[in-house]
Amino acid sequence: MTMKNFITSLLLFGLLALLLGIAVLGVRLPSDPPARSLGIMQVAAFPNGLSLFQPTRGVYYTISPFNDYYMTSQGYRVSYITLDELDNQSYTNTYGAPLFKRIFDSFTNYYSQFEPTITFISHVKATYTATTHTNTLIIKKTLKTTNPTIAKIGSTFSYHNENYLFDRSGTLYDYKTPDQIQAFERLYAFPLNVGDGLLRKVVPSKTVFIIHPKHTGVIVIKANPHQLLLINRDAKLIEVEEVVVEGQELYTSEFDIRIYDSLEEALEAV
Amino acid sequence: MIFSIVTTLAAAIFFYLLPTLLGNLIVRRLKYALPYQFITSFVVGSLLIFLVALILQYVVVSLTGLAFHTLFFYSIVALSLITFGIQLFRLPKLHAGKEHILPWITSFVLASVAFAIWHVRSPFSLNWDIYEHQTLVNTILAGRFSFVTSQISDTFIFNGYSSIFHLLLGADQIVFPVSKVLFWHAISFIHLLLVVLASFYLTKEVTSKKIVAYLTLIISALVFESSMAFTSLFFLPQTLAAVVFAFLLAQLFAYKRAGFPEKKIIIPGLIFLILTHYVIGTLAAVLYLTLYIQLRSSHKLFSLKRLFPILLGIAGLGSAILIGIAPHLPLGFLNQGEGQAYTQTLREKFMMMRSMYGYFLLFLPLGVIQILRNKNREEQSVLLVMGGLLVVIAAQLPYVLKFLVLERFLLNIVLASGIALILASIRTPLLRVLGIAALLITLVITLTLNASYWKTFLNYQQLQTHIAPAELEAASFLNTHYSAKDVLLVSDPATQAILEAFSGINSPGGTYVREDTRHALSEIKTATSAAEMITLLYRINDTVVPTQGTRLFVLSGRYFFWQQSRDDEKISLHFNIWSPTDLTPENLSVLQVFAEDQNHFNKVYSNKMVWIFEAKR
Repeated sequence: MTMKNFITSLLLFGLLALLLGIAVLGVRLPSDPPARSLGIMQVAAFPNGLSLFQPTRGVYYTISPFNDYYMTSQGYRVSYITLDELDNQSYTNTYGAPLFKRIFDSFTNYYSQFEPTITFISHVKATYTATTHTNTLIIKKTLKTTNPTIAKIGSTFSYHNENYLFDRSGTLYDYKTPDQIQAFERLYAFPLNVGDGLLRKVVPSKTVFIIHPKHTGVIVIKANPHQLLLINRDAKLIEVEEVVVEGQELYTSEFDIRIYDSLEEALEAV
Repeated sequence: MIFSIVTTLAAAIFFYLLPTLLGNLIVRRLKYALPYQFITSFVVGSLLIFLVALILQYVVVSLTGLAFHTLFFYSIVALSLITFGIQLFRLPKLHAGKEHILPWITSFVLASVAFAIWHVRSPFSLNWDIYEHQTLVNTILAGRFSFVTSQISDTFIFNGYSSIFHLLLGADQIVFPVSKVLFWHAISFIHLLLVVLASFYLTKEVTSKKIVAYLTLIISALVFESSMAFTSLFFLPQTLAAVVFAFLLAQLFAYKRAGFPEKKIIIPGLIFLILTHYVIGTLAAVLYLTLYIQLRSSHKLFSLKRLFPILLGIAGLGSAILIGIAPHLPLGFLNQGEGQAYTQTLREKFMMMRSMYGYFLLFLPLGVIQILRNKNREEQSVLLVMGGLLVVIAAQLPYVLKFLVLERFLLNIVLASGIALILASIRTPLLRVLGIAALLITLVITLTLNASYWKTFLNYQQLQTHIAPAELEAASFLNTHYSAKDVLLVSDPATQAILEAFSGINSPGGTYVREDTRHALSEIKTATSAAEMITLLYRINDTVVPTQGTRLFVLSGRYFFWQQSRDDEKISLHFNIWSPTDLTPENLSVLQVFAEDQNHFNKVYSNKMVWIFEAKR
């Protein structure tokens, strides 16, 4: 084998590899973002954050920097993406990755090795990652900031008018008509109590059950012991809030979302 | 459980084995040895079994009034005993020399890889058509048989093929008790293996080059035409016709070397192809005959060396004209219903091609160059037929994308020739091995992404599937409690198709529900009283075998989802609720109302996906 032959072979191998590489780049990818299955639901990254949804049902629950917030030591609530940043479009995100990355994500997602993640850069840098274990979704958030006055950070989970939000004792956290309550009790044989009507209310048990009449299954959000679980009826948000040490550059926060096939199963497990 | 697995696997093997061994009893009496004798044996044996069934139905049943399924059962048992008995005493000489071991092992390994990739998170078959085919098999085994599929079951509204495919499946399932879910997996895998082997042997006969044959084997295993054609991974009448076509072509090219036999030897193959699929099979027969005449003739007119440039010119001009004028042809009469859904523009076809191959067709021009350089008459014949068919497929004509089921066997040879052109020029063995590894990796990624795209809308829990265990449980309940009763199962088209196939309980049309039935089903949603619902349910009937029996009203997650769809979607034959759908709290509230109205509905079964009511008249 002469050097000339070897170089020719190497060039031809390069040509073959190039053509094969181009061949792969042509493969059509699903238009939807790669989604990780979680029981009856799926979780995926969208331009507004991570969303939990049931395919084809059209109802999305979102964990989003547009809703997430921090509280300063002066008591101001600041969104990760402020109204000014929104108006001026002065924020970026990592949605819509390059083709190579999308091919890699689709490939790993097919073999259930993909974890949805997305980063937003505004006056803070917030990264959201969804990790799943059987029926549990762990939302991990890292927040990088130069603001030295952050006293609390809050994670949010959006819900909808149709949702029933209640704790283990049956206390409702959002308004429902008597007919709706009656229909629910008839279906689930689980009594509900009307709450006190506060617009933002702490859930003492740190656990809330969420049911949508057009969705199957039950979502359970469970705050960690050091966190506060609140229902913000006004903004239709479930908020997980925790006190942090001021003056850090990097904060991390986690909370769990569990998915069950039925209320019976959820009540038994929680 | 183990017994069920064993009998199911035996049934899948029996599909090929009985016709082959039966046909062999006749074929081996020929005075000369045929290359690829097994394929002639298979088609002869299959035709013989079909002929026996036709005689039973149209002569014996008519004269004696005996039940078809009883006669068929005893006939198949008798044929099996005679065939296996004789063949055991005189085992057919196996021509499995050493040269076959490597391709067989490679085919088995790659077919397993492709099958495993396709079925990641998909434990049930993803071939939606199996429900209608299994329903037809069930009906044949229940005693209703005809040459014409639409006379057997109203699940078939279009006679695209004779009932030979279903009869051969019935011959397996009447002898062996089968798990239907596993049966379709088993027979699909055997089919995939045969597709890969057919590609290998066809290429070997055409090119006489091992490297090209092995490259075709790799491409054939790992490329899946996931639209319309479904050649490798779905077992269907059209794909059975295609694999038989490929083996017959391999045999035809082998005749050139071994000597052409009597002309009549090719007739059973052609009849089998046409009976298996009227469109694909007829096209396959035409292509076969074209190549037969071309290869057999020694006349100068058929010498490609002279004709090739002229044919190429005519083909080029014809292609331009066909692709150019096809969208403007007055083919509206063909574009009703199914035809409309099966007519794609060039752009749509390009996008489909990307799903299946990516830009892998880049190797096509290299393959053409290689074949033109070789000046091998067989390769040039294949190139010409491949090119002509490709043009037809590219044209905006109804159904033509289905021709890919045949085309892929020829196309893959040209693609493999293109890759071989580069690989053969790489002199360093290590780089050559790396090149093959790169090809394998590319095709594995392509198949994975193809599957990922195809299954996008099939998510259910952790699975990607058309059916769910809860539906199989409901089907099992129906089979146990209603198989001996005169009932008609009524639900949305998808639920009907699945439950009818797995339970054997009749429905009005399965997936292919007629328009008036769709209207009646749709009206149930807006009915103002239970009595009105009952009237509508009893207005719905089987159009082939009408019944006055009890209506089993199946309210499933799919049913509610279907009822929420637009009217034009509900009328369309191509709209279905493709993935399993659990019942929502809203659906359960409605179901409770049904359950409480015992004057009209009697709840007989429920799970998280399906509730079944007997509708009381």
